[in-house]
This record gives sequence, structure tokens and C-alpha cells, in this order.
Amino acid sequence: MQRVCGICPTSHSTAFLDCVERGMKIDPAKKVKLLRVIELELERINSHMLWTGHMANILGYKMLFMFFWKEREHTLDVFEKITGGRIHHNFSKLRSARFDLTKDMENFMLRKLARVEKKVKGYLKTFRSDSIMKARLRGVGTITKDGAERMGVVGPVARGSGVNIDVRKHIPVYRELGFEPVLEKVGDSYARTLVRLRETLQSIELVREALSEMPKTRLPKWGSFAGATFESTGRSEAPRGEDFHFIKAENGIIKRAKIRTPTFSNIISLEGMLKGREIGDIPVILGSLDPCFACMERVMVVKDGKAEDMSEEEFRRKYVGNNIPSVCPTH
Amino acid sequence: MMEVNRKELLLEAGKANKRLVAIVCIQEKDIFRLDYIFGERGEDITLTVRAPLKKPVVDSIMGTFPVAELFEREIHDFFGVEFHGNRRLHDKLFLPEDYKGPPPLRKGGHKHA
Repeated sequence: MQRVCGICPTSHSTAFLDCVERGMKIDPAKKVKLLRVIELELERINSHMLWTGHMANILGYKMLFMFFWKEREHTLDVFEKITGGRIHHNFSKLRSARFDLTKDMENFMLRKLARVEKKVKGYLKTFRSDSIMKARLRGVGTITKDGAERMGVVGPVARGSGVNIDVRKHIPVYRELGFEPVLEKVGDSYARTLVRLRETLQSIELVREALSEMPKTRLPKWGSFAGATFESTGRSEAPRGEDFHFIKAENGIIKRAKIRTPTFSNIISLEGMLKGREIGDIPVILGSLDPCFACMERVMVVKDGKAEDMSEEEFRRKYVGNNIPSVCPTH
Repeated sequence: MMEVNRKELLLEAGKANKRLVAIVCIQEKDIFRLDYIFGERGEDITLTVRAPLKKPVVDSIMGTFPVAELFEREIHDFFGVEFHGNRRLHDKLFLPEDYKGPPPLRKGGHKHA
């Protein structure tokens, strides 16, 4: 399931597992929940750093862009150390996790995170004080609280407008860690930037707390959904907002899967944000939504039990006008 | 989960006064089941509308929930369900513009509506 996206693979696997575990009425152990918190939050740090660097690039700050991506490398190192993969990392299993964190991994993670935290605090100061940043971002692409609620936007876009939407506040383990969503009121690109930077610092703190609360028990055995029949929905808070999965399974075979990625909910608000703005603001406004087109555009064709991933252009060349096999959109 | 008919959908959705999260289309034996999911995790409600397989038509809710426009267009692309009142329904969202085949996720070779 993590193959849906290269930036937020864990969010998809967590939402999928939420779905299956709710459907099969499995409640994983606290240790497993905390491990998922750690991976989700590391992913958020990674994604927000990537986004802020990208935003700095759009604004013309090439150096700041490189600085952010340099720090992002450290979070990728952490992923490599604890999961073995830098991009398509996955750690979660039904009812359990692949393996436990060792003391060595924990120390490595804390050391790297301390470095990232120090740097991000400095960059946050830059964003708060730099007058050119403010001139380019303030009042650009504003969406009011009412507008955001009406449009049904999710994630940092909604929280930048003061709408208190976050899947994490409905999850008991996050409440135990004292989680409160980060909110800004104004709803412009600047507010969304601040939300993401503040969330990065909050995520670092959440990882530390999750590590300190980790029980010293052994991991439970992996589960399997062989033979299970259920129909369920699951969610997780991806870096871009709420990720929604729907699964219908019969006798352990998935009959219908539906994924609603956060960008799909957010992109509709773009039209209203662009109205009346200048051409130069378009990249800033589009960028401030943190769109992930990778998970909106591709299709996967399943033919004779083999999956084939392709772009729209390839799909058109190969299948339009011919007999179409069953097509699963990655949505 | 609450069963509603085509006419009651918007009224019930308005009563719920929650954010539209997703619309899921599931093809069952001779009907399409459309699940409208509203609200946050743990407090969500699902409204279910059924439409016949032969001529699936439901009312669009994009006037009240603008985000439904994309959800409905996606379902139209892949299942061929008609959403009455969605102005851009026939502009392809995910499928290529010149796509002429049957709705790809629909089982049993029907023509595109």
C-alpha cells in the first residue's frame, strides 16, 4: 500500500491498516501504536522540510532551498537506519510492526532530530522576520475559515485558516501524548507556511515523547487477514491532510478499494484562491497547497494478474480504442 | 449507515452539517451503491444511495459541498454514474479526453453513459 506515494508511504499503509483493523475489530498493543506515531511523525518532518525547501525555491531563495533539503537528508538517514528504505520505507504490519527499535536506532534518531530541530528553529525565525518572504506570501491565496469549511479542505491548508481538522486529535494514543493541532488564523500562504514549520517542530517533540513512553515489551505477532470478510473505512493524517481509505473484502480477497488522497480534497479550493491574483502569484498559491500530483494522475492496469503502472499518455497510447482490462486508479 | 433515496440525500446531508470526506461507489449485483461519508474519524456518518445498474442517475450535491464536484466526476469516469446537476460531469477527470471505451471499473461491458 505504501507504493501509492513516495513522500507519504506510511500514511497510506497506516490508513489501510486502520481500515483493516477496524473491520476485523483488532486493537493493536500500545507499543505498536507508538511505533506508528514515530514513523508518521518522521514522515511529516520529511515532507514538510521537502515542501518548505520547494517553497523557498519558488520564492527565489535557492540557498534556503538547499539548506532545507540538506536537513531533509538527515531524516532520510533516520528512515534508512530504522526501516532500511529511504523513500519507500515501511514499518507497519497488521497488529504489529516489522521489527523493534534498538537502543542504537533510538540514539541515532534523537541525535539527528536534535540537529534538525536546531536548524528548523533558525529557519522559522527567518520566515518570521524576512520582509521579502512576507511581501511574497502575506495576503496571497487567502481562504477564510468559512470558505475552508465550505470547500472541505484538509490538513495544513485548513489549519492555516483556523479550521481545527486533524485526524490525530481523534486517535487516543495522540491524545495521551498531549497532542494539540497547530492553528493559524489568517488563511494565506504565509499562514500555511508557518503551520508546516511549526508542525515540524511539534512532530520532533512527539517522536521524543513517543520514545520516552515506549513500553519495554516484545512486539506481538503479525496478523493476517486471510479469510476475513469486512467492509470498513480507515484514516490517517498524512503530511498533506486527511488520507481516507475504504476496503471491502470477502474471504480475504479485496473486492473494492478506494483511496481519497488529501490533494484531491484540497485542489478544488485553488480556483477561488487564484481569482484576482497576478500571474507571478500562481506558483506560490499552487505551491502553498502542497499538491501531490503523483498520486492523482497515474493509473494501474491489472491484466492477467500482473500490475502495470503507467502515465495517462502511455495509457492512451496503449489502450484507447482497444479492449480495456480492469483498470484500478491509484485513487 | 443510513439508507436514503435520491431526493432525501441533500436534506439529510444538510442536517448532518459535517464535512464531506469521500464518496465511494461500489457495484453490487444489479445496483450501484454510493456511500457518502461525512464527518471526522469516529464521529462519521454514512448516507447510502442506491442506483440501478441500467440507468444510474443520482442528484449532485456540489451546490452545498463544492468538493463533491471532483468526487462525482471521478465516479462518472470510472463507473458511468450520472450526477444530475454537476455541470462539468462530462469533462474527463482521470481518463484521457478522447476515451471512448466503457467505464473501466464497471463490471460487464456497458457503454459509457
